[in-house]
Amino acid sequence: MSRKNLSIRTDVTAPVFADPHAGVRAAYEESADVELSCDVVVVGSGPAGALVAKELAEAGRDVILLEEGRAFGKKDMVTEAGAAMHRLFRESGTRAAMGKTFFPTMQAIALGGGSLINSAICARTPEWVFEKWHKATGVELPYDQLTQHYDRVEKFLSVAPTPEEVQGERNMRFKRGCDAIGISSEPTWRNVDGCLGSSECFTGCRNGAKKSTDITYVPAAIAAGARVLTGARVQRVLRDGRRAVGVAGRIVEPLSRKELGALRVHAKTVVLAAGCMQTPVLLERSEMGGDWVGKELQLHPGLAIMAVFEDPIDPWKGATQGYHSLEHLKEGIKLEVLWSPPAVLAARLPGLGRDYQKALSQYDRMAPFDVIIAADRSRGTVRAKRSGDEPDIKFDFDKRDVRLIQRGLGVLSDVCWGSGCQSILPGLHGVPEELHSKEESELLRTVDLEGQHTITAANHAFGTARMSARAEDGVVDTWGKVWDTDGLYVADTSIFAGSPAVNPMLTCMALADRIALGIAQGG
Amino acid sequence: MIASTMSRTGRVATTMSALAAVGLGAAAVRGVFLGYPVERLAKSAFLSKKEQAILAALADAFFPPGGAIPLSGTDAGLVEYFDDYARQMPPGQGTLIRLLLAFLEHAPWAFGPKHGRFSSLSLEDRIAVLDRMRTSPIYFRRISFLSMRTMLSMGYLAHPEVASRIGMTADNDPFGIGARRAAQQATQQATQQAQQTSPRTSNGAAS
Repeated sequence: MSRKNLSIRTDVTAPVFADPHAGVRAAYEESADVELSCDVVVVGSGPAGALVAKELAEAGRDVILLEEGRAFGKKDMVTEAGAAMHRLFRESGTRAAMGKTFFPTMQAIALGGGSLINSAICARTPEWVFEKWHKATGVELPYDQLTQHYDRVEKFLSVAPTPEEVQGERNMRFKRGCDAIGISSEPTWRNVDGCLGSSECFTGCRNGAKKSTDITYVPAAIAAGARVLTGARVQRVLRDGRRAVGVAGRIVEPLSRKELGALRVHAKTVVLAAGCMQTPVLLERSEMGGDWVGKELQLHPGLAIMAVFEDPIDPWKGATQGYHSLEHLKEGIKLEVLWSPPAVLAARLPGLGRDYQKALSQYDRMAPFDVIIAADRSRGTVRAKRSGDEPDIKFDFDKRDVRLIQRGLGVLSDVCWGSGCQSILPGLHGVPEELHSKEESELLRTVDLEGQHTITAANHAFGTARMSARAEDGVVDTWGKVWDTDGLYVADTSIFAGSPAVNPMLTCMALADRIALGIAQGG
Repeated sequence: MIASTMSRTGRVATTMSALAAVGLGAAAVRGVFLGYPVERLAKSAFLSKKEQAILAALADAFFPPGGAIPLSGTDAGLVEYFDDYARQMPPGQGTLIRLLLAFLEHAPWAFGPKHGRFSSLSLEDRIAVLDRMRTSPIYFRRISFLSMRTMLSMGYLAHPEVASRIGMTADNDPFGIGARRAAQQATQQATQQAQQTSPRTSNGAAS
């Protein structure tokens, strides 16, 4: 089998489906056991899984796509943070990686997975990152090949720069700050069409503008003959000797998580795309994948500060993350505009009682900017818990990476002052709650910062089923095939051999596209 | 005689110790379990009577009445919000929330500044307790504080009056772009319809 010269079209845009969820089978409404057979079963309908299902269905395979969550249409979206997190996130959005520092880390549970609730940022991983991956595990991913996959995904999802008309003041002040201190910045490229700047990406787009996979790749997969089941929780991969032959689990009610019946799907090929936290749990429970499963967890720790302006900027208006700066990317630092439900960001505002209320009353003058880092030196693990299906996540924030995020924080502070703010709310333990001048903010560079002094979150995760050139160095090969099991593939961010330096979705999809075409060509 | 006196003294001491122990035990039982006000919510509530009282005390300490946003935490319905929020949590998280409430309630015994149950302290003392947590050198205490503040802030900001005070809108078309596009589309459609229904000239071209 030759997979060296994949012939791929790069000019197809996702059609607009009048009812994108038509044909999705809500297995939880049937209250019965489900047993099915197919050529390929794909676990997880996020960016990777939905793409693989579509490509293989279009290649003539009989595909079943399984998703534990339910389908949410634009009319189902609620903006209240607590309600949205219950509905759209695993563990109601309270999941955290434990270690010396506590890292909130979120994962979606819905048709479309993370693409439903992320900020839709589509950034290509630079070529030099793949050279680092090569050094780490020997993998060779020819960039000219990857470029075709990037092109293909970008075209399908209508990826384009965020237009100025939807930026809003929060994003434009960040740009102004970058301009003022002489660093580059650019509008983020996003998979949206018809964005109105509602800044509601995190709770799901009520305008249906985000081209999440549930309204693009999933309906395209169905149109090509794939069967899609929601309420399908996969718990293990079935095997026959060295070969994967299907998956088993439970039919669950997606919101209450109540178990309703048994699930069993027999397949010639199994593709795991359950995400960096769930895929290693499935592999571990199935005793597949070898010693590297669940190891090498890497995150992009992110730390936000608030710039406070003299005039109202209405931060709740404008694209969720419309601007970023890649100026310091080679050092492992990315600067961004941030937004999420106001209540979630508010928790780091200064003061207590009436002082906190006073800070809240000035919220319309604040803009959160954040720094995320590659954190190449920090590592963690993902393990199956003794009971239940959620992962046990551990992560050690290396002191050198704390230094790196602090360095990013220093630059971010300069961006804030360049943007014309009148003060900064750093939200760090051991640092004054409000910094009133650029000189005072130098403290952010000089203070002896520990991980525990920060409120750091990390929603980009990778590495728990990493790819490698040799079986003894990882879990999958460069085509996503699990080294020790035939007929079993992994296609999500768990296969990354390191940090992608930027937001991981597009690279995840480009690699998934490559893996899907590899399987289609006889992998 | 000396032996008899010592024996009597010993018995008195033992009795006093036992009474003291019972008294302390009763105080501890009362301190931990008793003396809570009646339920605020229906019997079917997720939170117990005690947890509801703790939450009400927390809600008003985080969001006192009469501040820059005058609505207090309890007036903003935080007890009800939190009960609903906790009920929907997966079982493991629900248990953690109960533990967090118990920790917050009894932490002042260990960490002060006033010793007592959190819910029995005055508003100013409760604020002082929370402020100690917020700035504590102990990471676990700061994280506990942050977790509670995040959950309560979600409920507080969900109240329309609070959102209105902040100037926060949940407008899914904040720049009117959607409305303008819809208007343009409507105009285009109307123009097309007008062209289709207008009288034609003899050569068949639209006039």
